[in-house]
Amino acid sequence: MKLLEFLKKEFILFKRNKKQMGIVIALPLIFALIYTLMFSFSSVNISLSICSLDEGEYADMFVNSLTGNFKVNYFKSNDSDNCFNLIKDDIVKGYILGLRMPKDFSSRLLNYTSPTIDLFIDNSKPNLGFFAQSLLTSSINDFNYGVISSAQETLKDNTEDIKRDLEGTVNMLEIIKPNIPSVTQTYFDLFYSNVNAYKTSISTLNNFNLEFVVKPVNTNLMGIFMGNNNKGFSFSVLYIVLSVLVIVLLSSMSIIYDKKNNFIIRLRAGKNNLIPYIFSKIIFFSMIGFVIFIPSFLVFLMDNAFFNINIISLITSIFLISSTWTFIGCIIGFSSKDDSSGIMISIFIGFLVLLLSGLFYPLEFLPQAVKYITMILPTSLHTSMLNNALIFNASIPDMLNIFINNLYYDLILLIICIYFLMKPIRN
Amino acid sequence: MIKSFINFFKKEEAIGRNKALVVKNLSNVYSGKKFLDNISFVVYYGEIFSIIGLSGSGKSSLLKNILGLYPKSSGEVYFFGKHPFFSKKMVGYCHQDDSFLPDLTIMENIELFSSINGIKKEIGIKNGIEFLKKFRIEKHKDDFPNKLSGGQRKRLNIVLSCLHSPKLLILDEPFAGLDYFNRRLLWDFLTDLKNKGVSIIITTHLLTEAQEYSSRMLIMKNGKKFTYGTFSEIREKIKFNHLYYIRFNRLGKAFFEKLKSFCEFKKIKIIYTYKRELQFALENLEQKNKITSFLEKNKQNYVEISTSEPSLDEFMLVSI
Repeated sequence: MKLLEFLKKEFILFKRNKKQMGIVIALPLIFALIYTLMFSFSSVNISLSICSLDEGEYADMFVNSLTGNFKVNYFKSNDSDNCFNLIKDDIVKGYILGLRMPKDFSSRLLNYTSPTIDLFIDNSKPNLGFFAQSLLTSSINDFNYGVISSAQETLKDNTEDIKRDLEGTVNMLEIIKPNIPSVTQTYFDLFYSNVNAYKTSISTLNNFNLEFVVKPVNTNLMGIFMGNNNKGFSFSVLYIVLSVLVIVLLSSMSIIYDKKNNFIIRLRAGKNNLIPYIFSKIIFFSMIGFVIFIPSFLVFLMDNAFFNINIISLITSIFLISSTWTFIGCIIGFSSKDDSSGIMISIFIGFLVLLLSGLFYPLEFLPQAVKYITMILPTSLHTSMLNNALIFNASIPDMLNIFINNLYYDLILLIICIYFLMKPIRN
Repeated sequence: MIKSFINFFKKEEAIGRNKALVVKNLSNVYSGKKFLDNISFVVYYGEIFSIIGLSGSGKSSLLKNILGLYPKSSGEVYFFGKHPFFSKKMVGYCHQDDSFLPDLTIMENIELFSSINGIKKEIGIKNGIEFLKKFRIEKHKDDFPNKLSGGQRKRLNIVLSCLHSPKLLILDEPFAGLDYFNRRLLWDFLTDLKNKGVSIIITTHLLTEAQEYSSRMLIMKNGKKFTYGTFSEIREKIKFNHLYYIRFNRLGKAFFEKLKSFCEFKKIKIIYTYKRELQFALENLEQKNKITSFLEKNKQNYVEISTSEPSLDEFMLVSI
């Protein structure tokens, strides 16, 4: 009875707070859209400004190999400084990368020595350099392969010629062998053996693969679960981050609202109100958890992520995840003096979880001290809970251990919440 | 620990009149500071009981301790002879600040607070509308509370505390900031409740009105019980039966010190001084003669403004 009235109150307040509703509906959509788009970007929209100091054919070939993948502005100049200035102008206008090709670009390639291209970026943008260089490196693979293949052909042709000449020489020597005087026989044998050795060496050189020199070992990345369903797995992490940001913030604000309006004093002055009050918050914010889930999940589905869902486990997981973060939000609300400190702590926790979620940086590569912090946070537990329910079709008995571990968290947090609710009100 | 466990099930012995509230030796110490020091009093059925004292004297702290909003360091509290855990349902509390949700309409607040107070929604609504009518804010029932004036909001606060028809109503500073009309409305409402047998505890600074409407009172000073009882009992205890008010033509510092020593010796209290005006708390009129003869002996020119029976306001001056 009381629980329903408290829930009703939460719904009415939520309905009347349009900004709050906006956050709950828009934030998951925006997050999911940005995240999915981030992983399906096309380099065609990335603009390159290329200035060549070289008039040779390889420079044009190099630029042609990039025009399919990038939007290219290509020009030539004789002056290196002028080249730099033109590239700088383009970057200021919005070009992402600038390339200055050296005067000896073609000649060095023809002489089988590597030329160096200057790569210019807007260094006021962190991470752009690393990202741009890796993108360009992968894009010039075809050109590099073309150069290597051409060098391979030349090598093969030359060695073939030498091999043929040496075979002719050996045949000739075999013809004249019987007529060699005994005095010079020793020298002849030595010469004959040397020529045979050259022939063998040149055969080896003829079979030499230049691609092997450049890349002796190849790798092929494959996920062990359901092929390469990276998007499916990343949805779980994204959902956890979203629920932390939204649920912690809203539940802490809701407690601060109740405190500010002396609602909690009224509750405490009455009888048996505290447990229904806490549970109404849990149920309400679990519903918010579902509201966050649906739009972001649909965006991922549209982006070809695939799932193998166990509905009951999924509902239980969302309920448990939401309840943990609601408890944390409530504790923040109880311990905050006012709205601003509540928002500050909620955002702090939200960003901490975002950074330590593994969404942008793998947890495995974090220093040990930071790993300890991730162990305290329930995020890893929540991620594995969602992955099991969403991707591995795990049933409740399969996930019982994870659920029980989460319940330990919830129990501790519930005790802390009740402690704060019972704390003396000194205002 | 064992004592608190026993107290939990203990019942207050029923002696004499029926008691709505019994407070025994209540103390509260927080961070080494004593907020309440060994306070005991009783509130009977169907009376208005006022707790008065200067700001910071511990009135609100006392109410919060009684209701369990602060953990008491020692002492016992009984509502209707039972531990608060078993009897809190019969108590209504109204905080000194607004304590309703501004984003719910008045009727929605009434529905919610009915549930908090453990009664059926229909009963709460029926009672709520009746109280809104009494407080003349019924036409605003579908409005949000921020549309109400300060006085109307105070009245709404009290309505929300009474929805479950409590047998004991505890109101913390219900008259603060109210004009005469609103105060009158509230006093009439409280008197109605009292006549129906409801016990009411209020904290207030409006001493004259408290004296007029409440049957007994507790005067607090620095977290301690200064005095307690009916107004005449308090007057008896303080021995303050006459207020003597005079104005000097000229009052020198040296003579004022001399007068103070004289009064101290004769056990006469100077309760108020402002420029050349002085007020004396007298037990009997003989003390007045002693003062006048002392002034005449010292050739002091003065004018008598009044000699009257003291009001509760003047009693408060004695308690400072």
